[in-house]
Amino acid sequence: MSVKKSIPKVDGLGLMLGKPAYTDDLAPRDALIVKVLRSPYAHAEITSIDVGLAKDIPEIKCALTHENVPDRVFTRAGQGYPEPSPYDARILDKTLRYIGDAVAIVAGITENAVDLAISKIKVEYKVLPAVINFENALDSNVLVHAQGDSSSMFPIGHDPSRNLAAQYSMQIGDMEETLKNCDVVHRSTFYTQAQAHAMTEPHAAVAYYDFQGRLTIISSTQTPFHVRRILAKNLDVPLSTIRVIKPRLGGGYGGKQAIHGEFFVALVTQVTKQPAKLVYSRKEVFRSTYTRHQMRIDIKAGAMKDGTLKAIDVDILSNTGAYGEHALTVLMVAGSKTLPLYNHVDAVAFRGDVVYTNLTPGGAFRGYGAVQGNFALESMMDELAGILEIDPVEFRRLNMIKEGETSKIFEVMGEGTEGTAMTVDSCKLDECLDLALKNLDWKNKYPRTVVDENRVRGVGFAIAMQGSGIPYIDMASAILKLNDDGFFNLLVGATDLGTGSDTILVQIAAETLGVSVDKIIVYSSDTDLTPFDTGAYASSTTYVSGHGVRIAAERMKEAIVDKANRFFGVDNATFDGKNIVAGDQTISLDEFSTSLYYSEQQEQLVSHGSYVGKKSPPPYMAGACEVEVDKRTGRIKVIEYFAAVDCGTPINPNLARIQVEGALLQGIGMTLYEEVKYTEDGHLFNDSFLRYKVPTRMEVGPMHVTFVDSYEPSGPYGAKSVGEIGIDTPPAAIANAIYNATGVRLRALPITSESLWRELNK
Amino acid sequence: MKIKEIINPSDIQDAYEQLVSRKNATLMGGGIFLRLQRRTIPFVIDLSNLGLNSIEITSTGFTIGAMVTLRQIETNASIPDGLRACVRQIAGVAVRNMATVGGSVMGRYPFSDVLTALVSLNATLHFHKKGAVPIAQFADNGLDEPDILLNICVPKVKNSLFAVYKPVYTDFSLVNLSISKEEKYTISMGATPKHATSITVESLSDSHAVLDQFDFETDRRASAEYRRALAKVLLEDAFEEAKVWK
Amino acid sequence: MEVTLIINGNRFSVSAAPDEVLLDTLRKLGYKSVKRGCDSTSCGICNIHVDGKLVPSCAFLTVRADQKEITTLEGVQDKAKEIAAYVTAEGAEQCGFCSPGNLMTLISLFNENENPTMEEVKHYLAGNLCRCSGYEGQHRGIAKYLEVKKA
Repeated sequence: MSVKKSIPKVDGLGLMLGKPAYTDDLAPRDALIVKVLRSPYAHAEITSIDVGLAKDIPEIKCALTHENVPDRVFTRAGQGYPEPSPYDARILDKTLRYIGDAVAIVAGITENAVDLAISKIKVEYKVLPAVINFENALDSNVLVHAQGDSSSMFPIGHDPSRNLAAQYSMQIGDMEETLKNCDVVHRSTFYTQAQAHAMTEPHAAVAYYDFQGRLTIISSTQTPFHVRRILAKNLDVPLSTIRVIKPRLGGGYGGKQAIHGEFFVALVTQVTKQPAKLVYSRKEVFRSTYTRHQMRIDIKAGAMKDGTLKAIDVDILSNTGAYGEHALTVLMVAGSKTLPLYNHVDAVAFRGDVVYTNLTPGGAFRGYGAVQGNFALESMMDELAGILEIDPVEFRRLNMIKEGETSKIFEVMGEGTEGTAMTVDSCKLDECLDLALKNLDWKNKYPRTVVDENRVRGVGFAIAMQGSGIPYIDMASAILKLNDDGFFNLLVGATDLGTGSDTILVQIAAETLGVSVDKIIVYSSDTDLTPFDTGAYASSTTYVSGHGVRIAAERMKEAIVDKANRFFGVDNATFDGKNIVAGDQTISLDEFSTSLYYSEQQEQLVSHGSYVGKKSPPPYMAGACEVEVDKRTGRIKVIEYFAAVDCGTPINPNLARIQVEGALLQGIGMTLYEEVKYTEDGHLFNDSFLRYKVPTRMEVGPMHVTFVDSYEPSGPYGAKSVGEIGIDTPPAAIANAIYNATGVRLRALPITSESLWRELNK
Repeated sequence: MKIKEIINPSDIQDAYEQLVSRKNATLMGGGIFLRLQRRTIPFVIDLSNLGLNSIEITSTGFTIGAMVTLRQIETNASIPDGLRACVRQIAGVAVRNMATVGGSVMGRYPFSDVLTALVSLNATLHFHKKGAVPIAQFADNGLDEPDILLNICVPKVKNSLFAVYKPVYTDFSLVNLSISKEEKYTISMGATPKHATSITVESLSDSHAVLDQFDFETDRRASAEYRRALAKVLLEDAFEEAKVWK
Repeated sequence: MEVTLIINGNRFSVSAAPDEVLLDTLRKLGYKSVKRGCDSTSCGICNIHVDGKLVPSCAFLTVRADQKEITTLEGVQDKAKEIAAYVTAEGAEQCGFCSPGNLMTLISLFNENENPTMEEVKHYLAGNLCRCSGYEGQHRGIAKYLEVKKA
């Protein structure tokens, strides 16, 4: 058995020992240093730009501005094609839309020379008024995209004349009528903040022409195939002339789904014919990549006195910053990956506006939309239960989705498009809830325990769902090659960003072939050498890419048996992973494969598998925690966090567990500590790890992650996704726990100690 | 940070002469804060070769060389509790192995935990030219002419403590507090968000009266009212802790 | 400025600008285990040892390291492997980018204190950020390593 086994990551030891493996480690020694001059203004137009003095410096090989790069409008979002994000960005633009927007690119031999050159670029800016507060953006007289040349590939509600990047609305059932007949209707407004990914490896990209003159890009990206497509299209070169290699990544969490430095290094290499590399400074990572979308979420919910939830009406304002990357999809996921949790309602409505502001763009970030929506919805469910005077656990049990059921939302809402109808064939949410609460000792701890006159502890929980890839959009493929001596190369387009997906795909291949995992040598994410994969996002790798691998392995097994039949002149040979048996004759795979290439039949065995999801089975979880509040200071400490997860079969339980633990801490960070903060003029105030504080190892109490027994029939070996679900519950679970401890309901993230202290002292 | 020229003198008089004769000369202690500067520094005098990196125990207290690292303080069991505790949550061990007590003092950083502890301990700074300067006076006024800090004399105290509120373990302090006791109690608070100041009291009884003698202000990290509330809690807990002091 | 660096026991004569830091010098010389995670000396990722002391290589001027013994992860592979195996057994290295800094920090701790408690371990590693693992898996691995070492 190779699945459901906690083997170490195939690349783990090498990475830990510091072997060269990341983008900057692999850059040619003579690569030109590329840096980007960034806009000092939130909104400005370049009236003139002169790079003459910069180019006069002997070490400087190239300086590019909007005047001499391809003038194409596109989206950097790094999504499938056609993209659901508006085409609203250029490689370099005359109009600058946030502090940190790219003004010019300089490449030179030394970093010092490049820094000097950047300081010598003469730019005249016409400073424009800026939209900073997202609640004032819609129909503001200041337009972020006033030029009118942005567009969308299909209708997404894009209207730049209103600062609207995208808009969406849907309704199932008769909302007005349903609410009218409810015993209780409650409405609340929630706020979620911009959060920074803070992956440890800054974004990096390298470009060079290989010995055959092909433009090779090494990039710290989650989407190598999208990078190739978007680069080729907008540099106006054939796809066939570009190779994108994704080496090891130092974390991504969605932050490396979009295009960042790839265009800049590619252009420098095109112009200079020399290798070039760009490694973002940490400040650039904060300012000039993107953040989680900030949101305001209004929820109205109606229920009957007996605890039957009848209606949920959600209205969202989302801040996509200067560019609309993932604008529509993040918004939609806030509904599509939360509302099906309560599938018995008579009416459900969801609408939202995604607005432009002159701030760092919003973009993909683990749990996107879902974590914002979950905070609002699961806080709301506790509020509503409180009003109904029903136990919040009982309230969930009454109304939440169960195995074998469906939700109309699956059919109506997809990611940017219509959805896909499906029944939920695996849903152990009820068991998850029971288990998380039991492990926490909910019965005895709910709602609060007084520690002493200053400190009180409270418990809270939330339930959550995600998806497993995007049906009929996310596709993945794999190639297996049998070698002499009986080992296999597994080539996958799937993009391991540190999660261990290479390892999991090895496990799936080994399981299917019946061989041990050390017989599978995996190589991933190289557009010249590996087959297509949409990339690592939308919780798709295990479910979609894993499926592709399983199919390839099944075909390989068939091919081996087919060749063995011919070898033995029989029609009933079998292969058990080690040996091929035909009647009383046996040959080991090692010997057989060697013979296959050197003496008998002499034909290479290669198989492939590709897969596109026909559904997106949601993983489910319940998260329950105990927090301690010091009423004098408002300090909140998460004492313990219990997660019970239904991800189907965990292919590698250890790696699945770390996915959940890591996501939980990112969620706890979002709940209590982290916020990308801007000054009134749009300066990002905390653009370093000195000021932007991700949780250290001292912040976290024990996290207990349990997987309930579950099997998803449509998944490879019963697997669903596990990469994102862990981030969803902390905001609501902690907010609910704080309420249970103190009676204070906080509806804005992050819940800082000062914000709680303020409420406690009202 | 860009540095045009750096020297590493081994003689203090030599270092001093360079400091006063060269325009824009900058002294470098551990180099941690210097690195964070975005400007170009034309001339740096590295103080690492002047033998200022030891801690001496004297009959009246401690003499801490200006180049003693924060980590040396953390791991020296004979240093007063109030000073040892204040360095524990300043960045990580690696940074504390480089950052020096002299650098922490000379920066007069308003958020400084070290300054708050030294102010409550009534430390005396010894400069090459100017000689002895009480820490509180230095914290308020700085220096009127360039000079090199040689060491910091910390008088023996019966008891001392340090307390702080940091949102995240290695964060900047929202407010910090140090109390030392010899005959009387010296209470200092810093990161208010201004640098440390101190008062002296006969007994630890009235936290409100103490609080009234400190100013709290609002910045992007916390409001004045919240800082005051935090300070009150730190004080009350400290009073409790100090009850067992002899 | 000309300086002599003794890196993992090997002497190098290098020419370094006054503001060059060891992080850049070491990477140029091929010591790629030394990685840059931030520009404010606040992530712990570039930690190395200079004369046996744990320091952030991004803040240590190369000219200050003249004649000093520098240790990078490349120089302590056996020791590192011993500890790393316990972390990979938990799957907690994840993206791996913070691992070299973590290991250099742990090795420094074990040099100072052979049998630290987990509280001491966490305090010592508090300046080492990890964004993937949630830290818990790292701690499980380190705790097991310490247990086995003690036995």
